[in-house]
Amino acid sequence: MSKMKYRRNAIGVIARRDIKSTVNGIGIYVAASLAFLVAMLFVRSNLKGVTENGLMVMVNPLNYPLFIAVIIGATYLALTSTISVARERDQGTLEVLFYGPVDSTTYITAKFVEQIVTFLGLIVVYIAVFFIISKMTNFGMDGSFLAMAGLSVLLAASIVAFGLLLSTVSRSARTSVIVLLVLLLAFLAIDIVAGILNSMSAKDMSATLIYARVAVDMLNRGLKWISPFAYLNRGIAAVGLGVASQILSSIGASLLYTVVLLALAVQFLDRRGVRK
Amino acid sequence: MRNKILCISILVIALLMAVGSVQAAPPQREKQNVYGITPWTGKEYGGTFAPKGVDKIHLLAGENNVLNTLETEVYFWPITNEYMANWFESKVVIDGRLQILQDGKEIKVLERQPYVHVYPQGFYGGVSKLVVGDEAEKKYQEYQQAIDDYWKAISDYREAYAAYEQQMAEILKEVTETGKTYAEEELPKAPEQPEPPTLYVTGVTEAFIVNLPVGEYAIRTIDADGNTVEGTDKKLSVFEKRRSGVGYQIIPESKWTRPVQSDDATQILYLEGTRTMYLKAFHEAEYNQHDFLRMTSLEKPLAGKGAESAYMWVHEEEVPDTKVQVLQAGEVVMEVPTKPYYVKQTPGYALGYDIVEFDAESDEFLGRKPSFEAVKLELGPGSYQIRVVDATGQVLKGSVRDIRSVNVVPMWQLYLLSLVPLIFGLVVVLRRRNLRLKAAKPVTA
Repeated sequence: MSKMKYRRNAIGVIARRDIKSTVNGIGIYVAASLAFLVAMLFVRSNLKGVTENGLMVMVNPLNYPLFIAVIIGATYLALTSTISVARERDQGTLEVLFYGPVDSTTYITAKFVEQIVTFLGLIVVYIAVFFIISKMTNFGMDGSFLAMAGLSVLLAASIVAFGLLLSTVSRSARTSVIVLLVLLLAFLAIDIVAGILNSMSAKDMSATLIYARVAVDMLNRGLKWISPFAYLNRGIAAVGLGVASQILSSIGASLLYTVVLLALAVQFLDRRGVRK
Repeated sequence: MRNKILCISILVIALLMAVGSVQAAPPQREKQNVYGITPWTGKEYGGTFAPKGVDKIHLLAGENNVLNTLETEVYFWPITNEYMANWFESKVVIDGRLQILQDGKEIKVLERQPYVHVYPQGFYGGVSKLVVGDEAEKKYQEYQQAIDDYWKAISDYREAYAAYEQQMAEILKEVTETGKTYAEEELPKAPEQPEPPTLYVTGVTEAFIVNLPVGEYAIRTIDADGNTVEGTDKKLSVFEKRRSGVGYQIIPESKWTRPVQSDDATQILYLEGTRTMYLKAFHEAEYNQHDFLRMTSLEKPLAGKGAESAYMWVHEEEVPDTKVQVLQAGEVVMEVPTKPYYVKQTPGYALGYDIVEFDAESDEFLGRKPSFEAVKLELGPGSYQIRVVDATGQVLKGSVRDIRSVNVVPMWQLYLLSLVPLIFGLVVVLRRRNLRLKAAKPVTA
């Protein structure tokens, strides 16, 4: 068997084992329910807005709840992959694995594949549930919703890769979990605040808000190639414009970002070694 | 003790008065060479200026924009955070030509040209045109002629009206004295008052007319010897719209003074139950928010700051003779033309109004004007699509919008749906535990 075949086989075995463990555990189901509960708050708010005003103009009101659900799901997966890498190192599983036909690339790829396959399953459940909601409320599922669902796989891929990188960089599981949560929350907060400030009428903005917008815009530009949410925003904007070249380049950039994060994770794992 | 209190009080009052006088001091004015800018904003001509502190001017590509090099007094007005120019007391045109450079190379040198702004529907009519060169003088003369004709017509009207009153007085006298009656058609007709011209044309002025393609440029005013006039070196950014489409202003019948806008084709109009609304369609263009706001409000140092990555839709002229088609399941179910409407206040103390179709012939609306002109739609529960068609029946690009009426769902149903994955997970875990327990049971004979 060639080296590539060995590697593919090892990736398949590790990924299958981890997927089985995820599916048989309660965590993923709790995360999915939590994601839906939070998403429902936004659905409720939009529904209330229409019933109170009688008439309301908005982009598909299921897009944002889906975005929130995706973030919760992807963050959960990133957390579990971060914890599992740390735990397997602590318990010596990683060392044992590396005595066999497993190297850093195989291990990181297997962890990544496991989480992406799980996320694909999760997104199918999300689409099914949101489809039921759209039928119940008549909010509808348009092209922008499906584009968001498609692009969310890329977002999840980059968040998971980000989590894997942190797990190989940090000394302990606790540190990597805290750093991951803090960074994701910071990226998300900046993304949301920038979105709110940009959607406000610029003509009536006070000087304080303008200075806040300048600061947030500078941060946002600084995070343009670092934050996974920036990649998603570029993808959504490109889909909105309907320019094929922009859509392809945003997808390409997002994939490249994920590959770079994974390559860095492999590098750090090689440098740190697999022993506790 | 009493003296001490008195002294302190006087001191405090003096201090407050001193502070008050400092606050009320007029802002410091400074003589500056500035560019007066009249940019085309897609709908009309705006007005702003580039003082000393502003180093970059923004203009729309492929449009005639007016720039003029002037000397004026500039001051900063902190209340509104903007530079102000004292145009009324100090405005001197600086002689010279406008040199335009790109990548350090001169690409154009502009001379001042005469121009006028023409408002075919009057100054407050909204639409304006820029007429440049010899045509500007002609247009202004045409307007002056129309004004002169109007005053002549007014003079003739006054004379005719005086004659009419005289005639009527004589008839009245005759009727009183003789008792002779006149039929209505025998009575003289009152002369009709002439209407003033709606056209308005500004006086002929000279300025630089800048029309450039998209790009980054540098501009400066040069004197007769080719030397740069101090303070006139500026960067010039010429930008264009990102995309265009058709935007809607939607006036809900229940809140006619609070219309909502639909600018983007991805926006959906959601309704609850049966709703009546009035639609007005506009051509629109999407611009970079920073560039557009810098173009229109250059005198405000904070305008557009932090909005470099944001875009905004700008409604341009209204689509004339709008017809809106309503589609259901891909089939046109309604085609509604634009009509005038009048908002009639409900008589009595109770607040309220009715929106009724305006009929110019009806006595009810004599001497009144319609409140607005729009397309009236009354839609019941369901899913629809709307689009604007022109006189030839062609659908206007970017005018399609979805309309959906929402179903009011009890929230517990949605929350219950959220728990489905958890319930499924519990079943999986319990089933696994049972299987494990069964497998762990010792085999007995």
